[in-house]
Amino acid sequence: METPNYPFYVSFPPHVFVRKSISTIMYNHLLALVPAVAAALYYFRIGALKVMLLAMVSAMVFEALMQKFLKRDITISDGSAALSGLLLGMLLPPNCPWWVVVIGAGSAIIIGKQIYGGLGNNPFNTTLIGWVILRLSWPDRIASWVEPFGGEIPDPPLNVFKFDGLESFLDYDFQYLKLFLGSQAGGIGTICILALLAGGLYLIIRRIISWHIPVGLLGSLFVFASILWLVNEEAYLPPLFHLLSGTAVFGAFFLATDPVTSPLRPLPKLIYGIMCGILIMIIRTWGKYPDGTAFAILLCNAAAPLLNKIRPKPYGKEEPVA
Amino acid sequence: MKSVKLYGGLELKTELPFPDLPIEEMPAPEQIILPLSDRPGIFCRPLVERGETVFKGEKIAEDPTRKMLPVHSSVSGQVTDIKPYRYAEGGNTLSIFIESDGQDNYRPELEPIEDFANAEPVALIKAIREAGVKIIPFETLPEAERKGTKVTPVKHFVINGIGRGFAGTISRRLVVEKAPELVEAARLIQHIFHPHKIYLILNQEHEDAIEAAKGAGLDSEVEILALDVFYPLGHPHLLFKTLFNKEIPCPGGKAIDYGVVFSNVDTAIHALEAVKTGTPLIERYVTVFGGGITSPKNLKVRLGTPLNGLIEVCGGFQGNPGRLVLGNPLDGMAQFALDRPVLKDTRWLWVQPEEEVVKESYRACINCGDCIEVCPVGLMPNFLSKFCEFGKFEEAAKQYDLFTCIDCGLCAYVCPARRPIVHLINYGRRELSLKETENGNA
Repeated sequence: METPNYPFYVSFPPHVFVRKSISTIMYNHLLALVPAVAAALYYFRIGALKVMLLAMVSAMVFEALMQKFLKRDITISDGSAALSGLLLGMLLPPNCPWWVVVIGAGSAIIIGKQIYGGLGNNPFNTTLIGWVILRLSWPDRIASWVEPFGGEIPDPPLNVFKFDGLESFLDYDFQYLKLFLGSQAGGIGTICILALLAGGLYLIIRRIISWHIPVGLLGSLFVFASILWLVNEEAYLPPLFHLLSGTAVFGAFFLATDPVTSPLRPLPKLIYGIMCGILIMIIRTWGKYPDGTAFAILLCNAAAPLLNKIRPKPYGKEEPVA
Repeated sequence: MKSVKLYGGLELKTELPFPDLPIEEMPAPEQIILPLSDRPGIFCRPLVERGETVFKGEKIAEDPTRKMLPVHSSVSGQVTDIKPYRYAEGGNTLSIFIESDGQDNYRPELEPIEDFANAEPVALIKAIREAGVKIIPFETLPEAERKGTKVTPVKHFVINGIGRGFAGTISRRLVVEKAPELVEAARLIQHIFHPHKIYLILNQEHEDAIEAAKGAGLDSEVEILALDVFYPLGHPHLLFKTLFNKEIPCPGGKAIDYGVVFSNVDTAIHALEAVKTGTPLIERYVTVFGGGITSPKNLKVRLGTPLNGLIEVCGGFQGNPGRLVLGNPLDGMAQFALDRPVLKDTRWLWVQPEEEVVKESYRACINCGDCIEVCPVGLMPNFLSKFCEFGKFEEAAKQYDLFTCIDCGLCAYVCPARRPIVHLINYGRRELSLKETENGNA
């Protein structure tokens, strides 16, 4: 008995864990957003930097203040507040007043997350709660679009179609390649589809998100738009256009896949994605808003608990062995 | 052969290096501790007194109700004390402390049955039980040993050579080294139970074990199944599904209800030794491994040996040890004392270095769904942990099948929020069973 008696850690099994943790999920999301942020800086220059930085920092400050006030552990280092803030900033126009950004970030963190008990307990997407509050309170402030660097049209393509009609829309002559590369007016981080796809694919390859929600969302959006377009080419936009403009791709990879507010298993995730895609098309086609991504995802968030009722069959249940 | 994968399970092949070394015999320890109970509510009565001298192999405790198997001393020496000892698993349990005199005076108490092929199965069962080897399910005992219940015939006998399905196991080493004994053990099992078939489960990647088994002619006695192993395939429920494509009803169902017995390679070898040489179960095969140990080894250890004896034989700790775990890192129990003895169900000692101990506190569930994806029995561990965390045990049991859980630990292993899911599930089950006893007593 010569071995010295060490104090051992005693805990319940398991004693090893995967490397993936809440902070690695969040930081991988931030990393995946780097191309889109770079594109935003290219197209909107200093305006984009101001909005994104302000949104990110104020979200983190609000999170820390709220956690201090509610006597919770301060967890801003896990990156979730930074991610929510950055995503909010990317949805806003570059000339958004500073107080709008701060109110947006504050309401996202406080009303969207902390009053429910913090990360993991919020029923609705944090970022979208902040955005929707801004959208309903100061619609002209956050829809004051400007044309990006090198672009000519100061309105997002979907707005042109919605408010000016198909004819003036055709006058503008939008080109798919330009849209794909991001030369369109819109939320600063949401316009460059190429950068968003790169980030989204990174997340899928790293298994941070599963492919079900993006594929379901974009697939159903494309199919629905194709059907409408095939029925009446005169009245509706071509399907590819729906994918390349507006926030559908951004929402598909970065908003709808938020683990907290999306369903748990592959099949429900696919259904959820399809629901989002169909709702986006319904709002875009028949709704008041030119781009319904945010509202569609929020509505589907509400359906996530219902989709979670689709459950695996537990081992040995209700199937007696003969 | 492809194994039936219900839902989850993970292939944990490269996670932990495993010693692939010959089994070494460990010298007798100075002191041993032997508990008098292996399950709550079942106790052996000590047959010796404090200060009494015992021989190696002497029966020192037995259960008059015959529910628990007898306990034998694994060294010769003096009984120093009979007092409760605190185990990490079951709390305080009355235990016998024996100090070795270093002589190893061996006195066989059992008659060896060399020619078991001509012996009565009843006599063989008695010999195996008297030796303290747990291979014979209560349901299959002959009439005289039980009271009134029907004898369940054994249709299939499964010898598990993969442990729980972790990277490597001591069973693999035993198959490699003791394949000829296994052939005889299979004959013994055939003679006792007359099952339709005996299966030996091996990992298809452990080619040395498969070769050794085939080389010894095991395939003429048993059906060798080389499976595509994932963790925790070795659990009887999942093996049952793979072998027979049926599910044991959960909760409450038992494999023996369908005439299937699950056992392990080491237990089969102990049973053979008990019959052929009359040796009671006083030695066990244990693997000592992990990053916190200097030279990982496969050992043959006396029952009751304190863990620090094993660690000394393996060259001591490397760096500061963080956790001592009996079992595999996913479902083994962390120990708090170095004098804790090796018991009849000890197969692994895993030492985790201090720097690998995760000390994060847990967070709220973020609904990622990873735990559902890995759960091998199709549960929703995230909901179970939430319900149990907030005291809604009945809901967890009724709606989310709390009692189906097999404690594999995979859900908590993959949880990015580091939630102690298995702990919360066990907490819920314990609270429910306590409530049940309370209601029963009222």
